[in-house]
Amino acid sequence: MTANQPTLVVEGLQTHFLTKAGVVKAVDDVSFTVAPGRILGLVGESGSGKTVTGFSLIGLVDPPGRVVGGQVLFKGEDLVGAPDDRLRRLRGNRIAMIFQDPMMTLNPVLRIDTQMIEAVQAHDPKIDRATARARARDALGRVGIPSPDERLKAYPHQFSGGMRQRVAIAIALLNHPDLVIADEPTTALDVTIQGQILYEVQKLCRDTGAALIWITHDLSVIAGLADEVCVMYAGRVVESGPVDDVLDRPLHPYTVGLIGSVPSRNRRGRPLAQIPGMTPSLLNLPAGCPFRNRCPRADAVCAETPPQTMTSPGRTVRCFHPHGGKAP
Amino acid sequence: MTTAIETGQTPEVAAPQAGATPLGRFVSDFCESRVAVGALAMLLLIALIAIFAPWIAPQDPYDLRQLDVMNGRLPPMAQGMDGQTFWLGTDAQGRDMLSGIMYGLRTSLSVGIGASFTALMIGMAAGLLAAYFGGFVDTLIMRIVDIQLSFPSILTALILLAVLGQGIDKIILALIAVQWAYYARTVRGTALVERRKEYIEAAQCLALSHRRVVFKHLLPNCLPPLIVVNTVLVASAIALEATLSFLGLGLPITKPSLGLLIANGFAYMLSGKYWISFFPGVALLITIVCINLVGDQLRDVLNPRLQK
Amino acid sequence: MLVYLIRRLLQSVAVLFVMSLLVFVGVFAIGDPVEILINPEADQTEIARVRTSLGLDLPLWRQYLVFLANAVSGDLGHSFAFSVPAIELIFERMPATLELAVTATFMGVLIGVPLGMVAGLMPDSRIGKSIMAGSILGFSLPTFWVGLMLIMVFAVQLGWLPSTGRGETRSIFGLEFSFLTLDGLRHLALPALNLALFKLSLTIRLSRAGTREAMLQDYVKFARAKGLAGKRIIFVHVFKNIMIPIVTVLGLELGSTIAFAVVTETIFAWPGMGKLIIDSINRLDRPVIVAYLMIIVFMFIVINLLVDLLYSVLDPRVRLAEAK
Repeated sequence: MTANQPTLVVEGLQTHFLTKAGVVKAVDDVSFTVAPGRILGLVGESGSGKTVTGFSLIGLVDPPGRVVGGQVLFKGEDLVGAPDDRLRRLRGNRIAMIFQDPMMTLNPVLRIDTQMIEAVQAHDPKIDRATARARARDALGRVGIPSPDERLKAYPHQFSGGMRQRVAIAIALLNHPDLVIADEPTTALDVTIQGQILYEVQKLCRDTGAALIWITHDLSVIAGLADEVCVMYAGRVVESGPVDDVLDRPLHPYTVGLIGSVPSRNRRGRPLAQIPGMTPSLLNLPAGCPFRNRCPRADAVCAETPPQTMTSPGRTVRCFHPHGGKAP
Repeated sequence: MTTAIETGQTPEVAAPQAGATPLGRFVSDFCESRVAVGALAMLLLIALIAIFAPWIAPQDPYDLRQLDVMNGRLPPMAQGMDGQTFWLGTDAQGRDMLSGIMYGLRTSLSVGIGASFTALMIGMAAGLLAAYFGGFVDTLIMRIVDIQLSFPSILTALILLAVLGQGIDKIILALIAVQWAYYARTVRGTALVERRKEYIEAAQCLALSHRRVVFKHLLPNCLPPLIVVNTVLVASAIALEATLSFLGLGLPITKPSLGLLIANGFAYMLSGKYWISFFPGVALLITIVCINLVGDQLRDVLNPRLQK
Repeated sequence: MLVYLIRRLLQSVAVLFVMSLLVFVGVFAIGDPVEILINPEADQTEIARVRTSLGLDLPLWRQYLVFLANAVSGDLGHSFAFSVPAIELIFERMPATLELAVTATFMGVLIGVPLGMVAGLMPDSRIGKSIMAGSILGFSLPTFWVGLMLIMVFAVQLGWLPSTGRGETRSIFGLEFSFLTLDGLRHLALPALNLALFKLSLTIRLSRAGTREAMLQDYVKFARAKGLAGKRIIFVHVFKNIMIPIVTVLGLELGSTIAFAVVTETIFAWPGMGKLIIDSINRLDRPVIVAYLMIIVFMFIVINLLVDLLYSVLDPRVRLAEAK
C-alpha cells in the first residue's frame, strides 16, 4: 500500500431495486475516485441516484434494493459483498455518514451524550464512559457548539436545525474516519447556516486529511466546496472532472442546462432558462442515452447507450455530442 | 448569493398497474392471503347455517314436544330414545347440541350484526355531522364520544342492563350504546381529512346542498376505514353479547344465543360433561376468529401506507 | 404543567358528577327493590316501614341530594341485601380484584412485549407469523370461554391447578393479598392467565406494529451508519421508542382490565368486586351497584390522570413542551 493510494475507488457500481412493477436501476455503472484530503461533489436532481450511491458504498441499501455489481475499493479492500460484521466495524469508524435531516436521524428519546458515547464505545469497547464523554465534548467544541457540557445532557429536539446538523457532523468525526459521506446535509437548513457548515466541514477535512463525498442537488454549493465533481442523471455519471473545469467548460448538455438555469446566470427581467421536459421514470427509461428526450443535440445515434469517454486525464463525459468545452 | 437549482420532478419509481379497476385490484389484493379467503368462505358457510337453521337442524330445540328428558346429558355420537343420533351430544333437558348451536348461531349473529349496523348508522351520522359542521357541534359530539370511549364496553353494558333490565331489545340497545362511539370517531377522523381536500371545496363552490355534498362526495371516501372498523366491531358485538349472556344478564332462555348455551353447560364442566359448553364455544370461536381474520386482511389491503 | 393539571382535575370532577347523576337516576328510578326484600305476604304497613327505613318514600330528587351529601362524606348507602355500608362491601373485595388485574397486566407486558418485538423484527418468518396468528386468537376468544377451557384442561383433566376461589392471603398494610403465599399463587395462576390473554394479544400487536414502524425510521439507519451492533439498536433505540405508546395504552387498559375482571371472577369464583356487582344486579341491590359504579368511575379518572402524567415523564418531547 503506497501513501498515495486513493481512499476510495468505485468501479462500475450497480444497485438495482426489484419492485412489483419492475427493476429500477437506481445506480447504473457509476465510477469515481476520491483521494485522501480531497472533496468530491456528487451532483444531481432528486431521483438521479446520488443518495442510493452513498448508501451503496457502505452497504446500507434496504430491500428491495441490492448492490448487484461493481467494486467499491476502500483503501484497496472491496466492500461489495464484504461480510456484514466487517462493514459494521468500518461504519462510523473508518467511514462515516452524515444524513440529510438531523431531526429524523437523532433518536428523539435518547440524550445527545448517549448517542455520541455509544458511537465511540461501539468501536472500542475498552474505552470507559468518562473518556468517551470527553471525546464527545471535544467533538462538539470542534464543530462550534457553545457550552458543550450542558448540551451533552440535552435531547435532540432542544437544538435548532443547524445545531443538530453540527451534532451529526461531530458524531461523524468522533472516530477520525478516513472517508466521510455527506448526503445533502445542508439542504434542510437556511442559507446562512449552510455557509457556516460548509466552511467548517471543509476545514475539518483539510485538517484531518479525511476524504469527503458531498452529495447535493445544488451546483452552487459544489462550486465553493469541492475539488472534483460528478454529475449524475438517471443513475449514471454523465460528466466528471475537476470542479472549475466542469463548471467553466461543461461538456454534457445536461450540465450545460444545469449551469444555465441558475438564476444569477440569467439576465434580469428575462424568463429563467430551463431544461425542457421532465426527468424520466426509472421504470420507463428510453433506450440509449437517458437524457435523449430533453436534449437539444440528440439525434438517431443517441439511441445507443453512450460509453464513458475520457477527454483528458481525470475528465470524463458520457455523450455522443458533447459540447466543445467552451463556456455556454 | 446563488440559489439552488431545481429542474424537472422526482421520477416515479413504481408505475400504477394499468387496466385494473379499483374494485378488481381490491379483490385481487384481498385474495393474496389464503387464510383470509378461507376465513371468508367459512363465514359464508356459517351465515348459511344460521339463515337456514330451521330447515336443516335435526331438531327444533325449543319445541318442548320434541324433547325427552331421558335423552339428557348424552355424550356426542350417542343414540337417543327414538334412534336418532345426537352428533354433538345433548344438554340436561335432552336438547340436541347440534341444533341448539345452529339456532344459537342464528341468534348470536342476528343480534351482533343488527346491533353493529345500527350503531354504524348512528355513529356515522354523528361523525359526519361533527366533521362537516365543525365548531360547537363538533366539540359537543366529540366530548360525548370521548367520555363514552373512555369506559370499557363491559362497564357501559353493565350499567345499561342494570338500569334497563333484561330482554333482547335491551341487549341490542346496550350493544349499540357501546359501539356507536367507535364509528363516530372513525368517521369523523376520515371525514375531517377528506373535508379539507379540494374536491369538497369544489362541490361547495358549485352550491350543492349540504346533504348532497355529504352523501355523494364525502361519504364514499370515508368508507374504507369504516369497513375495517365494522368487521372488528361485529366480532366484538358477538363476543360481548355472548359474555353478557354468560353472566346471566343477556338474552332470555327462550332465544338462547351461544353465550347462554355455554353458560348452561358451565355447571357440568367439572363433572366431565364438557360437550355442553365446549361445542357452542367452538362455534362462537370460529365465527369470531374468521371475522377478525377477514378484518385484518381488509385492513392491510385498504391501508395506503402499507402499499408496496 | 400546573394549569394543565388543574384543568384535567376540573374536567374529571365534572365527569364524576355527570356519571353520578346518570347512575343514580338510572338505577333508582326503575324497578322496586322492596319487593325483593320483603316477604310477599307482608302487609302494607310493613312494606311502608321498610320503604321509609330505606329512604325510598322521598321524591327522587330529594333522594339524589341525600345521596350526594352522603357520597361526599364517604357514605354511599347501605346494601339492601347485607345491611352493611356499600362502600365497606366493595373495599373488602377490592384488593382481590386489584391483585388479579395487576398480575394480569404484568403478565401481558412481560410476555407480550418481547413476543411482539420478535414478530416485528422477523415479520415474514414462521415464528413471526405464528405469533401474529396466536394474537388474533388471543383477542378473538371470548374471555369466559378461555376461562372454561383453562378450567377444563388444567383443573379437571390435569388436576394441576385449582379452579375456584382465592388462596391463602398474607396481609400488607392491613390489606389481604394472596400472591405472597404459594397456595395463593396456585389459585391466582389460572384467573390471572385468563384475564391476561386479551391484554397479551393487544400488547403483542402493539409492540409488533411499533417495532415495524421504528425499524423504518431514519434514526435506526443512522445508528447502523454509526456502526452500532444490532442488539444495541434493538434493545436501546427501538425499545425505548415503542415503550411509550405501549405503556400509555396499557395504563388506560388497566381500568378496562379491572372492569373485565367481572367475567373472570364469575367463572373462577374469585371473591372480588366483579362478582359482587353481578350478584348485586341480579338482586337489585342498588346501593351496591351505585357505589361500585361510582368507585370504578373514580378509579378510571385517577388512572387516566396518572397515565397522562406518566406519558409526560416518559417522552422528553412532551415534558419539555409543557414546561415552556
